[in-house]
Amino acid sequence: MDKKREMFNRAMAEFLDIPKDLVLDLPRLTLTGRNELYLENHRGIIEYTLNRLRINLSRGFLEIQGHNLEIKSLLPEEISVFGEIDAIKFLD
Amino acid sequence: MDNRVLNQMQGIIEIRLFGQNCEKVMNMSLMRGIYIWDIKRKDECLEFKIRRSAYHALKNIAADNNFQMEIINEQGIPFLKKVIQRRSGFLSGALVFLLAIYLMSSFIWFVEVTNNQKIDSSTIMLTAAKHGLYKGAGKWSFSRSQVEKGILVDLNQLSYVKVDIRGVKATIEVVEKILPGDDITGPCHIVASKDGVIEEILLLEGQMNVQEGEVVSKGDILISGIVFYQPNTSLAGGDEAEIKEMPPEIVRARGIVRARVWYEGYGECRRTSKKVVYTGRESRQVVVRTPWRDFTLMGAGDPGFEQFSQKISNKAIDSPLGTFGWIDMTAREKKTIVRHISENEAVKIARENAIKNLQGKMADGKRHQDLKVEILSSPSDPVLRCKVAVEFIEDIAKAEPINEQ
Repeated sequence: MDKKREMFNRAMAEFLDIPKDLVLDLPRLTLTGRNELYLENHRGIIEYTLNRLRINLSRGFLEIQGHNLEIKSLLPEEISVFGEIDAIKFLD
Repeated sequence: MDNRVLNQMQGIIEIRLFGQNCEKVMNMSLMRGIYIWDIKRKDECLEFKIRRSAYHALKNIAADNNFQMEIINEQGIPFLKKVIQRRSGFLSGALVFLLAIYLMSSFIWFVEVTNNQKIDSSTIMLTAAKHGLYKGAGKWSFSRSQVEKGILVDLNQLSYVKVDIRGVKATIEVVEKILPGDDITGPCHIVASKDGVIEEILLLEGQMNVQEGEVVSKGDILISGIVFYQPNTSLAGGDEAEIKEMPPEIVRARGIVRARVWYEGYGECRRTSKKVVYTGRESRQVVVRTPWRDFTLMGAGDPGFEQFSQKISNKAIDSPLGTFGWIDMTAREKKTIVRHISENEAVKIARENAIKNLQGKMADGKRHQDLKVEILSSPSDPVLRCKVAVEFIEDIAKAEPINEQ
């Protein structure tokens, strides 16, 4: 049922040309250089260490690997990460 | 959300959180709408910042989940209280300073009067003081417009007054009235202001009383303001009886009357003159003064001059033992030279003195006509006296009102 709904939403978003992060609750990532990451539509933090940050998403989670990672600000919908980022991985 | 000014206003608390799985607390805070920023992972703990208002909510979350919490720093205006308490002396000093500045600047410290020419500044300041504007007056104690009005009423020689207050300085700017001159407007005669011989007359209005070449003395009427009707002889068959009955017309006589006038000056010169000159010979004596004895270092006590002037420079230091000092005396020899002045030279000097004396009496801009020198003293007199007479041509017309009675 959910899958059908998602497909319908996707089709509608494409048809009406609406940003998908709004309709489908997808995460939006803004990466500035390799030191600054801004993420919208997250679902909380799973794990945070200096070298690894795992952020829960609506589907799956995002793993950020790097050094000296620091969460600059944490808001219900947004998160901003500073530090030397080596990799960003989407995991299910 | 991340408003730094607002955060500073509300107060920021920096917290250190100890325990396993700190992410749990972060997620729970997110659910409660607590804004967290500057999150840093340290070895065993997590450091982050929250607003002061969220502290209690976070404390409850941490307590419920068995986390240890520690405040490491407090920032922002609400926490300034402690700083204020600690530096109360400094702050109260600053406050007193500001108050003193405010208090001092609310008085007038300088009063200045500008633009006045005839009226004395002190008169204007005194009048201003009467209306409340004086050195040391409080700015609240007088009204500018009242002072302006008051000065204008009290000093009727002024036509405009502006009081300008800039800081602690009050400037009173005035404009004086230009009063009409004391010109005679009513009927008048033109009389002679000096003795003299009339050179030329230009009659503008009135009846001429004197002729060119006539000698007049001071006060004589030159142009009369009472005009009698002159029968015109060229008109044949005039009604003489009618003319005689016509009353004289009284007018303001006008005209220029130029006359030859004299000025006399007196001068004198002594036939022998005495002059004191320095011969150039000098004698210097230097004495060192001690409480016990004076030592002459240089020169003798008596310069050995008949006439001399002495210059003494004295330097002394008073000590408990007495006076120690240094006296430097320089005597310069003088000589009196008696000089006999020849008669010609004496006349020249006396004449110059007389002219100098004369110039004091005369007004400027007069045409020089003639200069006569008269020697008053006899050749045997020790002083040569002379009189200088100068002739000028000048306007001697002076208006004098007609006495109606």
